[in-house]
Amino acid sequence: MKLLLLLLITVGWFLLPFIPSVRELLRPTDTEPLRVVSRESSAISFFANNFRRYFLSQADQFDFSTIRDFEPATFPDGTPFVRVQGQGTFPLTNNPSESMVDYLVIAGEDTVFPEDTAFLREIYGVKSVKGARNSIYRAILAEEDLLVPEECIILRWAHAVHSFDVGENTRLHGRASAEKNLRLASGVLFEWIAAPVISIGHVEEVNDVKKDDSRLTPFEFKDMIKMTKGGDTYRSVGDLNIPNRSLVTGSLVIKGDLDIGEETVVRGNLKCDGKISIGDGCAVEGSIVTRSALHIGEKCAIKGPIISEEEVTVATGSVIGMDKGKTTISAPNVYLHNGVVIKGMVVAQREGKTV
Amino acid sequence: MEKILIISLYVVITIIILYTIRHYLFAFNRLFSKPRQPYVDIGAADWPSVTIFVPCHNEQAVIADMLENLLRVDYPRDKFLIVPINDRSKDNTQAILEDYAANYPDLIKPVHRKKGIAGKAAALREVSPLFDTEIHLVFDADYLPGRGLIKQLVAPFFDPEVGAVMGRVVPHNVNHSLLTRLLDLERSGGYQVDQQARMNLNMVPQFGGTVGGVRASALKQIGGWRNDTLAEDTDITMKMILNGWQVVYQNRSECYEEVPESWFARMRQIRRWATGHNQALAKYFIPMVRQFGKFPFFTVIDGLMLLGVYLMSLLLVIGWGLSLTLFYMGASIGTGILIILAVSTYNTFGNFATFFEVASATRLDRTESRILLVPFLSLCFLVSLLTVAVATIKQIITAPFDSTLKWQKTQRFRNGNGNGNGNGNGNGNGNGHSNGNGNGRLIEEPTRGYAYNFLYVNGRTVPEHIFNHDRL
Repeated sequence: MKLLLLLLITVGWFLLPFIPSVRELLRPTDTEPLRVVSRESSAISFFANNFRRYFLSQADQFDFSTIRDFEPATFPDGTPFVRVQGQGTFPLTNNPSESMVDYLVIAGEDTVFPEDTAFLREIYGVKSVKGARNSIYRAILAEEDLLVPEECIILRWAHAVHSFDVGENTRLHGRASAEKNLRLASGVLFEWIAAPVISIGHVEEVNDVKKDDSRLTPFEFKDMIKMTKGGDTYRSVGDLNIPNRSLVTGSLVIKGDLDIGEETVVRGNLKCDGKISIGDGCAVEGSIVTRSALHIGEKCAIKGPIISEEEVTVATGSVIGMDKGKTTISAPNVYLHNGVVIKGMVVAQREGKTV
Repeated sequence: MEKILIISLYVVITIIILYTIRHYLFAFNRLFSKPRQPYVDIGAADWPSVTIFVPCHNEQAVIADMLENLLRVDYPRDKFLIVPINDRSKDNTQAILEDYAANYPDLIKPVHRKKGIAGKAAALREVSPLFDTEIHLVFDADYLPGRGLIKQLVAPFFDPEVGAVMGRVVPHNVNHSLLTRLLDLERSGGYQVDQQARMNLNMVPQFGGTVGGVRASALKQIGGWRNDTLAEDTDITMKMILNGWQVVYQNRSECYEEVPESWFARMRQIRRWATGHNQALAKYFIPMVRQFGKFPFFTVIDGLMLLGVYLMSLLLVIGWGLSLTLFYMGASIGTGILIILAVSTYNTFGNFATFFEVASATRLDRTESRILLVPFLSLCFLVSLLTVAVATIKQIITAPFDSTLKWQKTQRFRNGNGNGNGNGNGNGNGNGHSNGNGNGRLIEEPTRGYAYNFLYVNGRTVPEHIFNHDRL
């Protein structure tokens, strides 16, 4: 009897964890496939396009002749909105001292936005949108140009179909993008910016840089190992210093630090486990990948993607990407100096800043 | 005799404890550190040319869905080629492929194999040299790649040291049965925890032979795909590592697959994996040992443990046998608390370390109730244990170095009958596929917003996923 009891207790103890399992098996509550991440969401105008689709689907069902400008109304799905243009008084939340607009804003041409105001819902700019300083915007879509002046905060995303200008010390959370030009003043914090041409501060005329090879000294791959027979990728175990005005024809995989002298041209890709320092006036025709920090000197031209697992600093006058070949800078911290131009996108997983 | 048995038991216990530590290390790494995915945010670039190989053998149930999804991926059309390799299919696969090729002559170029060694590795070995693009990607025919997956898988090749890339496999037919739900859990543990932890710790992520790809020049250097192995993926992984190339895993490069829906199909699948993996163990154990001093210490250790992973089932069975034998012999296996702890660990936590990984993965994936099924994993564990142990014993006895072992294809189950519909959907248009539209308000998620994308399955579009940074 005792043995039977012991056996029963043992079996019961063993089966105890199966009680919730059996319940979940018989009455499944979590049987959908895992939701996988959409890569399409990396498209420049992903959120903007979704918002536009939403907006148009609602606007299609609403008779705008029944409302006046600055008069609150409600879309068929219950979303409160206000149509505005020119100068007028925005309807604020119940507590006027907070200066918050809790309406989706449809902004017509020449809309004058109030300063020091928080817009808790999206702004749809039928044409251009000029924000006001020291304001907080949840998200803005401008069908033409967009100006977000100094000391503002974008909470989610902002997109301009034409050009997008961002004033000093503005914070861009989420995505900021334009389909033509994105111009950032100094002191701007960003996470994910994208445009055919992104310019930082004052930029001199930009062309795709072409380097003259005739005055360069071919770099000799001494003590380096070829990674593939007949290939052009070379591996080095320690640090590597490349002299000024060298011509490197091939890709480099460096296990230490890499220091590239001024006005050197690299016709290949660079991979480095340590820090990379690229001197002024250099050109790299391939990608740059480092597990550490990367410093790109002044007036450099980098064609391929730039990937750092720590930090990327791009000094004045450098051009990243080409008109015909857009590219990406991706790093936890990205610092872009005045006069830098990027053709493509920049992703700063922790902090991006214009200096 | 007793002493030999005791020493053997201690050896087994030591090896199992090493694997246990490894599993816990991986799980804790994933729970408490950020995932290392340096290439995944590359969205704009001058993309290299890519060939996507899709080995097929009697795939009429699934191949049309696969091609429909590949035709919708976001990649420059002039740098993108789909090459289905029809390996002697006896069903409607060839007709379906020809239909698609006729409609997309610049994008789809099927190759029909009528002779030579059968199997995926042999098919890839024969066909991949015919296409001289920079990158070769491989997908099994039952996979459903999302729109952005190709760019994600190609991005790591901007790193000149990367020889192979592996994405994450996510079961699509989860709700079919207990088995599919358990396999879903197992995949989560394997990818979300094991693979990503190896990536984080600079160890050896494994190229899985699908949802991944290789650099063509690196592949050529290591001698191409081997047709004398049942685990061409492990073979490629080891050869890449031994030749100085890096293998990269990207957890965010997710792709749906169809997991086996019958226990028999599952056992056949795991038997093939075990046999192939053990072949790789026989080939690469010594070359890997020789890398001590050349490669980082833990890279070599992880490489060796990766090679030996399918021996663990046999070791466990041997360990249990030894324990029982010694118990009935009345033998004392030692004294002291450490010995008791070691044996207890082996008999309890050691065996269940992978369960901890799975539980960690469900947490990382932010799934809710599926963690409740973890106790049932012991069923999967037992089936795998016995299948792998039997396969390994058989291999040791009959053909330890046999390079002519026969490839066994995993059965497909789409449409629930194991045979498929075979209709082919040849024109590839007018199917109503759309991207991110018609779903009402898509930006209100309190994290960063969500937006639907769609996959094409069984002639209809289904929601693919929700954008969600927090789960990464």
